[in-house]
Amino acid sequence: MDRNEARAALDAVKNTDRAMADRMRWPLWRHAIFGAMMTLVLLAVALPDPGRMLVLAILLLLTFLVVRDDKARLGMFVSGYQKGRTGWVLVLQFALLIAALAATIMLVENALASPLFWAIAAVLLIGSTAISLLWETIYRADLKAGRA
Amino acid sequence: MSGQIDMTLHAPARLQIAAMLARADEVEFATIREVVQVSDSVLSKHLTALADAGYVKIVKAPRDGRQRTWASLTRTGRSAFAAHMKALRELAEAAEEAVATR
Repeated sequence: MDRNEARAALDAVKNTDRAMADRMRWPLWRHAIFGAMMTLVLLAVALPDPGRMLVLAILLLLTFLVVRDDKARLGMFVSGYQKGRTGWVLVLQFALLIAALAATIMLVENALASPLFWAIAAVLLIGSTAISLLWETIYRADLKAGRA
Repeated sequence: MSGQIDMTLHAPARLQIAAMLARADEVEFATIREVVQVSDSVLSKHLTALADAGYVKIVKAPRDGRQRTWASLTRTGRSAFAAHMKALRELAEAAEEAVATR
């Protein structure tokens, strides 16, 4: 393989990445569903056993529906775990979830009756939705810039 | 990881397929065909070659009453793609350096 072939191959990969970047768009409701799923994780930890099982079942069902819908809409599935800068966004999401879980375990007695719990849940819902939007922005930017 | 030209990924369409699969977890046959812009038969041949090399896993699953083909990159495939891309970049950069020092 010579230099021109190598360049042509790299250009072909760049074009593929750009085509992927143009295709990969998730609607706002999809990001909000992700935020809701993170909030359900918090709820599962905060609730006593019968409620916890129900929340976990809803979480599993939502995961199945989200994957199925992504595949039907985009013709592919992209999990959050990708190489590149999106990894830092995942770290941020993980930190937010851990902070919400820690605050709930340490500060909340009766989750459903506690205004503080619902305030923490609201922050997690809005924060996770925003982080999901940020993930998409960085994923597409990396594809367009050939950084992926 | 050392960069090494991989003859399985040498064909442009195969490299594009691998690039696509490297950015996603699973991609449907029709979506790959649209992005790479090849015919069904050509895509089938390339996917089979990549699967034979152990780079791609192919799964058939029903959707909307039809059987769909889904492809994903294996761990071996991801490593091979990364090494091939590294080799391509090294080759392109070495050529540029050689031109610059003339």
